[in-house]
Amino acid sequence: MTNLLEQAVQDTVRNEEWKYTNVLHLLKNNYSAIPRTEPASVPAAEADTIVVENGVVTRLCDGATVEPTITRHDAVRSTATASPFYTLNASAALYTVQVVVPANTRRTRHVTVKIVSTSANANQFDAVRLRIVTMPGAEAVVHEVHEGGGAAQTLNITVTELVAHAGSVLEYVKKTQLPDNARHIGITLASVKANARVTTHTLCTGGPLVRNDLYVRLEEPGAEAYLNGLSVIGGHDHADNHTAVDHLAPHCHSDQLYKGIYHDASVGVFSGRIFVRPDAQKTTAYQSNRSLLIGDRAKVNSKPQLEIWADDVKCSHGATTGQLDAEALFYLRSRGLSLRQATDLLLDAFAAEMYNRLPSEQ
Amino acid sequence: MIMSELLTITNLHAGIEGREILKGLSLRVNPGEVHAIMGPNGSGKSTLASVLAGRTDYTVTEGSVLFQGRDLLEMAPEDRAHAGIFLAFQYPVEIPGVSTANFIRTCVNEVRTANGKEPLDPAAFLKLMKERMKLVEMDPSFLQRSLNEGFSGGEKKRNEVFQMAMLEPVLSILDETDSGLDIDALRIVASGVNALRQADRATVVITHYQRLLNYIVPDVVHVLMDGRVVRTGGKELAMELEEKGYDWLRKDGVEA
Repeated sequence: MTNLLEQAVQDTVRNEEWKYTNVLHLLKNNYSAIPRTEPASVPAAEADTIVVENGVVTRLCDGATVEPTITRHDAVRSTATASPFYTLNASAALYTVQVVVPANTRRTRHVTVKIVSTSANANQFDAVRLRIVTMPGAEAVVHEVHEGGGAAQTLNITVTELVAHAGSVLEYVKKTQLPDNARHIGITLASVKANARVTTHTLCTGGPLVRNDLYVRLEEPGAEAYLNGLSVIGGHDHADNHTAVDHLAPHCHSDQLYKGIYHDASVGVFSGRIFVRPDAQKTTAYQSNRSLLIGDRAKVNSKPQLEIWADDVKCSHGATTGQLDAEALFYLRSRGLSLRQATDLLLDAFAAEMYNRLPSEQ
Repeated sequence: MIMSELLTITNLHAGIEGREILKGLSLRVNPGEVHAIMGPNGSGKSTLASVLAGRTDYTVTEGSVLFQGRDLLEMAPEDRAHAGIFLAFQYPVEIPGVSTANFIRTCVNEVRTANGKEPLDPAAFLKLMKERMKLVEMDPSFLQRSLNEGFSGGEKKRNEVFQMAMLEPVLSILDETDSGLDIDALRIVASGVNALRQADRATVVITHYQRLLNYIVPDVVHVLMDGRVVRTGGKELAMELEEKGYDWLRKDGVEA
C-alpha cells in the first residue's frame, strides 16, 4: 500500500494538473497504510451524522449503508484529468459509505459525514470512499467535514461520488479545517441527470496541504451545477482547488465562483476548466475566481480554462488577484475605523458572499 | 478677545508621485465659519481635501496644518476622524457586503469611544439615525443595502451628508459634493449641511461652480490657482467668478 502511495506521488511529477502543488514531501513522512479490515456492523443511530475514523466507519445514520467499493474508471477517464490519487483510493478504500435519498422525498435534516484522521504514534494515511445518491425528485443537503488531531502526521484521501438523478436537488458542503500535521487530498465526482441541480460549497480554512478536485458532469438536458468555493488560510497553509465542469448535453447551466483570502505565506491554487462537448448546444457556463493576497509572502496561482466544441453557447471566465482596495480602506478609516478594523470589515464582506450561500437547516 | 482658530494651514506644499500640486497654500478657518474653496480644474482643490483627511498616497514636503492646535499631519486618518474631521468624498466608495446601517453604527461608536463616551445603545442609535435621515430625505431602505453599492450619484452624496450628520464633525470638508447632482438633490444636500451649522463647527466647501453657494452661503471665499490661494473675499467673490471666470485672476496671481 505504501508503494501505491509512492507511485501516486511519483505520478504527479511533471503532471500539468499538479504543477502548483508539490506533494513530493509526502514521501518523507513515511506514511503507513491503515490495515484493511472488514467493516464491523455499525448500528444506524438516529442522528444524521456519519463518522469515519481513520478509514473505518464508526457511526451511520438512517439511509446510510456500507457497501463494497465499485470503481468506475469510465467516469474518471472521461474527465481527461484522472488523478493518481483516485487509483490509490480505489485500491485502499474497499468499502463505500453510501447514502441514498429515495425518490420524491426531501431529507429535511442535513446529513453530516465526519471524516476524522488521527494518529498518536506512527504517521499514517487513510482512504475513504463516499457515495451520495439523490433518486429522481429527491432533495438533500450533505456535509463532508474533515478533521485532524493526534501527534503524528496524517494523510487522508477521500473520493466522493455524487449522483443526482432526474429532477433531484443535491447540495454538498465540503469543509476542511486541518491542523499542521493533517493533510487531505480529495476527489469529488458529480454526475447530474436531466433537470437535476447540484450545488457545491468547498470551504478551506486551514491545512498544510488541501487538494480538492471537483469534477462535475452535466449528462442530460436541463442539468445545472453551481460550484462555490472559499479558502481563508494563513501560515504556510496550501489550498488547491481544481474544478472541471463537463457539459455533455444541451441546455445545461453551470456557474462557478471561487474566492480566496491568503494571509502570511499561504498559497492558493485555482484551476478551473469548462468543457463544452459538441452535443452541448445552448450551454451557459460561467466561472469566476477572485483572490486577495493579504500576506507579504502569500501567493496564488489562478488558471481558468475553456474548451468549447459546440457553437451555440454562452461562456465566460475571469480571474482577479489583488490586495484590498486602498480607496475603500481609506474611506473606512476616514470615518474613524482603525486600519485593522477596516481590513477585517472588508475581508468579512468579501467572504460573507460565500458564507451567505451556504444552505441553512430548516 | 482672540478667537481660537480651528484650522490653520501655513505654507503647505504637497503632491503625489513626485509632482508638486500645492505650492505654499495658507488658510485659516475659525469656528462657526463656512469657507468656500473655488478654482479651475487642476488647481489643487481635491489635493487639499485629500491631505486634510490623510490620504496616504499624498506627500507633504513643506508647511504645517494645525487643527485645534494639534499637528494634523502627524495623525492617522482614523485619528483625524476621532478628532472631528469629516471628508465628504467626491467619489464615495462602493463597499459590497457591508450594510450601511452596520457601517454607520460602527463608525459612530468608534468616534464616541475614542472621545471617552459610551457607545450608543441600539435604541438610541436607531432614533438618531431616523432623525438624521430626514435631514437628507433618505429612504430607510438604504440602511439595509450594501454601502453605496448601486446607489445613484445623488444617493451617494446624500449618504455622505447623512454620515456627516451622524458623526457631528467639528470640521466638515465637502469635496465637490455638488458634482453630478441635479438641482433637487443639490437642494437636499445643501439643506442637510445648513441644518448642521453651529457656532463651534466649521465647513469647508470645495467646488468648481458657484451654484452650490446659492444654497450653502459661505462667509469666506478663497480662489485656488496653481496650488496657492490667489484671492480671498466674501460671498460676492463667488458671484464675480461666475461672471468673469478664472482667467482675470490668473494674471493677477502671476503678478502677485
